[in-house]
Amino acid sequence: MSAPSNKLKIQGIVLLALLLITAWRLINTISTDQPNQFPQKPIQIVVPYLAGGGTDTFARILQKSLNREGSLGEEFVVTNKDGGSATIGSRQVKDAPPDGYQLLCHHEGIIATQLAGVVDYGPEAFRPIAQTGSIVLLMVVRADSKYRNLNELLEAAQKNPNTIRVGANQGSPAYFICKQLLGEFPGADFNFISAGGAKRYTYLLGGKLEAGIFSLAEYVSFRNSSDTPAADNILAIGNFGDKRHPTIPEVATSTEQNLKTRAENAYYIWAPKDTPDHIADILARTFHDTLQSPEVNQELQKLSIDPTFRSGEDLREHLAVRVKAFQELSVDAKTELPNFPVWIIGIVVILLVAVLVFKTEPEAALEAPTPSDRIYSKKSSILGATCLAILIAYVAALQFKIPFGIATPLSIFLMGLSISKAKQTQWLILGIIGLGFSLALEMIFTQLFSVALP
Amino acid sequence: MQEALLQLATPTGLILILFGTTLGVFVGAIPGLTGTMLIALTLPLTFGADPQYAMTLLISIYVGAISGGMISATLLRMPGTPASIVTTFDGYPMAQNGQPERALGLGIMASVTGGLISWCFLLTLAQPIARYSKEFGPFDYFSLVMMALVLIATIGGKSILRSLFSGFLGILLAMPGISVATGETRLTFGFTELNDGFQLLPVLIGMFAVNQILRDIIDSAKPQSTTPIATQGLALKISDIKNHGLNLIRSSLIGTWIGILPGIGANIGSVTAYSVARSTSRNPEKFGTGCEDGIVAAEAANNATIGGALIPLVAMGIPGSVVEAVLLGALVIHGFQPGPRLFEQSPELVYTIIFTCLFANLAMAGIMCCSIRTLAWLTKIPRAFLLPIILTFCVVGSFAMSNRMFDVWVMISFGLLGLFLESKKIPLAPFVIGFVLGPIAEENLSAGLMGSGGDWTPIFTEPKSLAFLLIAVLLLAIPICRNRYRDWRSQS
Repeated sequence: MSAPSNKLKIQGIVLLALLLITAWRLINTISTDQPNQFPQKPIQIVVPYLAGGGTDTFARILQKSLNREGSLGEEFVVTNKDGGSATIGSRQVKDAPPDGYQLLCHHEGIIATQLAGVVDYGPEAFRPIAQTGSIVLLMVVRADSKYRNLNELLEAAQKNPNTIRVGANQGSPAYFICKQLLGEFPGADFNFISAGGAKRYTYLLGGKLEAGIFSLAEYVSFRNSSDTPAADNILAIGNFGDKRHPTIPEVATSTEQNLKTRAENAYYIWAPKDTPDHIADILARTFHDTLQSPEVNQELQKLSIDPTFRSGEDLREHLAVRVKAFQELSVDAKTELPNFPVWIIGIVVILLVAVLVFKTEPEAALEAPTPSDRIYSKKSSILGATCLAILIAYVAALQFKIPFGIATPLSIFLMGLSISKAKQTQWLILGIIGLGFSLALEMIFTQLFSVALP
Repeated sequence: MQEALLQLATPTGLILILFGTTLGVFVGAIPGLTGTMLIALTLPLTFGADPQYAMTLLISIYVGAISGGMISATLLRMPGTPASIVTTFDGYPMAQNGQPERALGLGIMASVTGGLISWCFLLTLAQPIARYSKEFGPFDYFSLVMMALVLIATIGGKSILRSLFSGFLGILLAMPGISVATGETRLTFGFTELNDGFQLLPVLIGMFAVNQILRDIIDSAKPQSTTPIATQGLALKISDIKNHGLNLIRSSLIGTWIGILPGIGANIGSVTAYSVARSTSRNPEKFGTGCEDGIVAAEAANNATIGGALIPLVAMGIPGSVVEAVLLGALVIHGFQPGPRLFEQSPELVYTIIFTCLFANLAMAGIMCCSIRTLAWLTKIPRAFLLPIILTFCVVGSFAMSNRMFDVWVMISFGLLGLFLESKKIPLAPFVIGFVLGPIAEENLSAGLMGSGGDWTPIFTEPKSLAFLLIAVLLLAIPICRNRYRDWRSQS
């Protein structure tokens, strides 16, 4: 008899210890809550593109330096939210609480998407914190292309409109540069094909595109050594910046090619519109200091990004000028594409009807019993429903900000209890599992990965 | 090359490989957590480290996680990635028939073979093969995706009609949000949370893990009919290699070559290999009931996609999957310029990546073989303890991907949808594959149509595009024709 009771005693002690730790942690989190100090938790920098792209690289260089210096005492975390011409990420930040914990790192695409009608908001829906760099843009062709400069490319587009295939997502900054160029050659038109980043590069090499606009950083990393066969390499034929760039002094600017089109892009840090002044100031100062550090300068130079910094009134004026420059251009009607959602809904409905009509097809009768064929007794359905209810209650509790450390053990305990049909011998073990497990999870996520659990 | 090998052979290098692979295997094996998430979360921790060691750790995790997904797919029918869905078809029935160790053993053997074969290509032919990915235009991608959708419909269930319905339902549910092609918002019904669409991770976890857990909970109310677990250990014989040799090599080659294609590879390598294995098998009707060939084809192919997908990453700087995009980001952060010149600028780094891939595969085999007995014991843990814990993992996993409670609700809703669909005998695998591939198909079809000025004929006139369609038709027709032929012979 003594062995089982000893086991019970040990289990009881472990449970008690875990309860105490949980309670101690909860009290701790409540007492350190000082709402006036910014920042209190990691700051998220949302990058509206895939990891590995130009914007992402830029954001991560800043992040590395911000975290190394650690002047704010909290980590900066880069999150990638790609898709929808970068509007998925930008909308998330626009709608985020204006507390400075979610920032957007985005270039002038934010102006372009509004003018192209993709979304109904532009820079005015944000509080711009800082301009943190400017980028040189280039027109790039395959190295064996017959177009050796901008004029040849555009004259071809004038002679045979819509035959030159150019990779640019409708309404992206690249698209606006092309429109500006085309404006200089009456009647000229490109055939725009949506392809971004690495895909634009492979399509160019594979002969699926004649030309594309690349940032200098992209060009430098995709360009192969000069002894590569020309069919496997790319070549810049025009630089849209003010002057030739030291990294690629051989590429002539558009001005030198007697064209009026000039363009550059810049990275900005945006915060939700109602972000209070003192938070915006802290952030602007932090970004300013980071941009001054020699490490960042060195890394940005490698990427051919100039560490231009603007903030406050200076930045607002600059943005107003940029928005105006974009507004002078128009966006054509989009290419006629089939209405895919309608097609798919149609197919699904047809298939649904077919499935219902052919319900008694012979093969269905011959089917081996799948798990779903088992007859569920009333008792087991009640059990299933109970557990589902506990799960939903658990998630709802988390949604309404009940601490993870309380909700999780409780839900594990209750669910385990109902599955084991409330066997008394398992109460203690379930309690231990629930508390221990949630403590461990919370430690791993908050301490190691700096992800705040609900 | 020597330098890279020497650095990997140091205690630190080997420990990192062992540690990363073990971590990957276990996280990959936990339903609700995935390798992608682990890698994304580990990345910031490697900022301060030596770049070569950082890549070693990340790639070891990657290899481990893809292989670890097999464990939960086989034992619990909860695939951790779309790539291991196919493993559930035969792995789970086999485990249910009392042979979990044999199922895992076969899977490990196939994984290692697939990993090694694709690794040989990565080592020797990375440069020339990578060029092949640039030959693919938008229509080719579209046809390839359509091929995969047709294939999954034929292998995923007993009724092609139901499978197709499931696949298209998946495509439909991937549509809400901002269109990849035009940037317009659609099917969100003014609900801004939906502008982001439904994310893959919560959908996958919901469909398979939550659905299966609810099912298990319901089943647990009934008296248990415990199948005795055969304790034959690994139970691999030399004859296994002989019997499965052809299948192993073929599936690994398919996995490698499809893995090279950015964005699609990892998801459909195993679908295609499985489908080919079934079409060429003498007993296609055994597939889906615990057939050894099925496990071998699926696992060899999905591990081979890793080596395949690393080829464009290493040779051209093009990421093939979300994980690879994160790896690419890691390279940039550590001051490298991934692109066609990475090899010539930092050969030691490229060799580190390549050899880590080899060692991690070997480490994975060792770790899995050692822990197989323990793993099979997983199925014996009282459900009252196991299921609530897995559910908590699912909730945390869905949340942590992008820190949104919305994703957790999505997970629960898709769990219920999965339960409902399965109760109506509609298979779930086509749904998830449709969900993953639908947007890719739409994006490429749109780009193709923009290029051709709205003309559809290139789908049939582009050679590669046509070839994929023909392969799809062939793989569809072979089993049907063979059945007809057999019926006809048995009648006459």
